[in-house]
Amino acid sequence: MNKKMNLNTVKAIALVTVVFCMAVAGYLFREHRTFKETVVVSDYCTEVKKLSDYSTAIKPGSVNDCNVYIYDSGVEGGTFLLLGGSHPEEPVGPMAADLIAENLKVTQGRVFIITRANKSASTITRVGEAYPRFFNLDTNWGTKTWRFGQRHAAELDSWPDPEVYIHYPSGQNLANVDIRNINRNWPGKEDGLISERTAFAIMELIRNEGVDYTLDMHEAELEYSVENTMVAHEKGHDVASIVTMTLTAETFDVPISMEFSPKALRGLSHRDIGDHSDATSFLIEVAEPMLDRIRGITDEKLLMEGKDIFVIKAGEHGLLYAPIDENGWPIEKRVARHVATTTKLIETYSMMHPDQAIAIEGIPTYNQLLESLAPYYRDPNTVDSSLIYFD
Amino acid sequence: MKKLFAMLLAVVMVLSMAACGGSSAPAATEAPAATQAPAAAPAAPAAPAAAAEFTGKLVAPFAVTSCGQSPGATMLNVVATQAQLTSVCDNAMTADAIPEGTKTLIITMGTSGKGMGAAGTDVDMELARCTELANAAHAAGMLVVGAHVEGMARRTDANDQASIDGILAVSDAVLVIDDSDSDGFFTDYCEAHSIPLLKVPKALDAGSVME
Repeated sequence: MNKKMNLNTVKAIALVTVVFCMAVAGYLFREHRTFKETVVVSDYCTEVKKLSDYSTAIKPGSVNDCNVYIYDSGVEGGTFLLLGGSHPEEPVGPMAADLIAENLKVTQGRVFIITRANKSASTITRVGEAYPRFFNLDTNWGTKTWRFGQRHAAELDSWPDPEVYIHYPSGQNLANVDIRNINRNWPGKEDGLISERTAFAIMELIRNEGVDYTLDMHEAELEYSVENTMVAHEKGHDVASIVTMTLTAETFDVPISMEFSPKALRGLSHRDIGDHSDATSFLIEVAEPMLDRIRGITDEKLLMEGKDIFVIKAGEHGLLYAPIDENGWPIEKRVARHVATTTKLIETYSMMHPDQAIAIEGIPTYNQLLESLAPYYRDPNTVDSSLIYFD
Repeated sequence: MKKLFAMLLAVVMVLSMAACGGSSAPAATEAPAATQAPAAAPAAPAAPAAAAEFTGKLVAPFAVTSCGQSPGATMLNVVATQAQLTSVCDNAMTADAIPEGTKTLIITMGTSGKGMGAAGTDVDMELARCTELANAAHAAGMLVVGAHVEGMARRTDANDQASIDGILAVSDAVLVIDDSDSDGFFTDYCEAHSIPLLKVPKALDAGSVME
């Protein structure tokens, strides 16, 4: 009898423990999935559309129905689309896109900004990697928070994965999980799974708005050879050459290199946006130690400071493709590089294609951002509510 | 007596310098192109078959190509065209496709895995193509310049080194940026092989050594 009671007690304790863990995990999961990021657009943002306005492939109000921030000068010129958040485990993309959206003034041409190109992928982190769910930046008005995510859309929104992912329309076989990776889905598929449909809807935006060039912002582990670089479609080789040479000569301490977009690897923005529209496509990478496989503790501190003793040690042994020292790759430097590259791309493209010129103001310089990012994110409590958007 | 001896030494030194300078003059009757050192033999490169006279600057019109499908050639082509100089860039250029009137063939060193994969080539095929190209350029009296303008990012692996070694072996002059030569590799090589070295701070500055 006593033995039976003990067994029931153990079962009850186990049940309570499991239910408790499920409740906590469920709460944390829900908090992450439903968290709304705040974007306070600049006073010069002329319109904010939803991605579903461009294609029925994305249902209005669904998880990947992201905001499209539009800055139309009203003066004839070029049209540029900036993409952040393609890979939500690379936090600089949405941070840089957000910062530009909050400060931009366009005096010629038009600029479109998407800060969360695959929002579903920002609602879940990589299973088993102990990533943080959020990251925060302290400002003088309070804390600004972003979701941290992963490369692939959440299984809740895209399931099941096929045995083999066959890229549309090339027919190339890719890893099955990459059907949820928007940067393996371009130019998208109208009736595909969520990431394919999202890429298709963005392509519709590009085609219907007459976008002249695009820039997709990423980060990469230091163990990866395509690092601190700009990858360019062949339509943009000349522009990318000037951008990278100028930034290396005048602005960056660590050079930014250039790569040609390979024609044989499909689904990447720098390849298939350029192939399937009139737009010229570019992609940029900056070093992110948090993504390295050899990293140690994976927390928000590493994300923001970009310092990891194991990655630094690997650098000492010459095992990495990007330099790293005791200063690491802090978030200020990574965001500053992407913002400066965006500015230089617009300037250079306008110089080389005067009929598609875009003139912009208000974006902080590389050195200003190196000093601090905080002053360049606006306080949502002190602006007109019409400037506040959630994504 | 000591003064006389010192003066004699100085005269000998001046004469020897003049002799070095003279060695870069065109020599159309030198060994034929086919006898040049193999691309992958950097330690003992053969002298270029018919080196054009190097005047201290790279003279346009240029033909530019990459040995390894990296963007360096595109960069130099853009720099040249921005400087209002005639330049043609073709990363698949073959010996029979060098534009007529070209005075300087520039071959950039360092490889791109993505670039070579996209072009369906590899470093051995690139070396074979560029060596043949250099031989044809020499035979036509052009100056062949090996250039490394993408910094240490293009000096990371065996493919990069093979490209560098192979092109140095057929170069009459070398153009590098400071970062590419941060360990003195190109300086040492050019000194050891008496090849003129043009060094600029950044790729964007390459226009300063073109005319």
